[in-house]
Amino acid sequence: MATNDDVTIAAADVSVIPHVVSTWIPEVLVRKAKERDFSYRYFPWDVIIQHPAYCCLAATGPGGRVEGLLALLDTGAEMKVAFVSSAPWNYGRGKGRRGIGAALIAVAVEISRQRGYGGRVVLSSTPESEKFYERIGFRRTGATDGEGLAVFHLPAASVTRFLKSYPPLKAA
Amino acid sequence: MSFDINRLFGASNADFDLQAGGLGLSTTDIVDSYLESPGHVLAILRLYSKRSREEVSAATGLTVQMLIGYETGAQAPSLPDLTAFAHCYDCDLRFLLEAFGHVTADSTPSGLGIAADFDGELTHDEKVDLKELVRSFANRDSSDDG
Repeated sequence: MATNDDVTIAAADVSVIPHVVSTWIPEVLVRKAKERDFSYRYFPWDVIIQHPAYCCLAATGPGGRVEGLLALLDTGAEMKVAFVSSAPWNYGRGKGRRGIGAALIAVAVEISRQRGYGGRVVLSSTPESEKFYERIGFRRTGATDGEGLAVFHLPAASVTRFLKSYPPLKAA
Repeated sequence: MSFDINRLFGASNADFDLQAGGLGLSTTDIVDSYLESPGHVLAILRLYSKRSREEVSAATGLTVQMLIGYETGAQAPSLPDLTAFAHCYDCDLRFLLEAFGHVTADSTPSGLGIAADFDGELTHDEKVDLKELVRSFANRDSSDDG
């Protein structure tokens, strides 16, 4: 199992787009074609990163390889994880890294705490990730988003446990 | 970063990572947005399989010139050709049909009905064949799982 000691999380800008498109898109297509696995969701990161409403972060490994991306929205009361995804080679049963998405979520919690939101984070989970979010302390709000995805939040009571479980990470 | 999700939350989590925010783009959307032609999907599949055009030609019965035409988008593969590619690359025919815009992402019977229009050139029998073809691949997937 590879560790993520060589991964850094920092603000992402348009400079990562060519790399993401050229490396993630073929992987996504081959994954869908050959593994008959349609659960991996590719979000239009080139559009998301350029959107002024989002604060985007990238988890980057050696050689500048982008291992995961996160788009955050400050609602004024909490941090909303607008989009988060690990690179397609990290998702599923492959030999990629584990925990990239969770590490990015941990950054969202830390930013929420630093902005005075008590670590509160909300997000809409894909069906495949729901159990995992529940396991790491997120709870259903009972609402669904515009695409029918269940909305989850990290309640204040779970923030402490979450931050104890994860080393405090800061966006560069 | 010092972090190992499996150590913290158990090995049962080892098989996936987190995603949130939406349902993502369909195959058709990805192809339309990021590739100049659906034919590039065939080139990607060939490159990932580490095979030359000559090798694929021998496996599919298609000429190298046809492969070049398909991969560059200069020509559109026929349904039998897509079937040959699916077999050659051991990939999902439904994916190729989606990539080339012949079926919708949900691939419901109505979606297959749209596919059956297939440039408006298919006969009635060929439309039935298309449905049977996709169904046979779906059945093959099920038997593979079992």
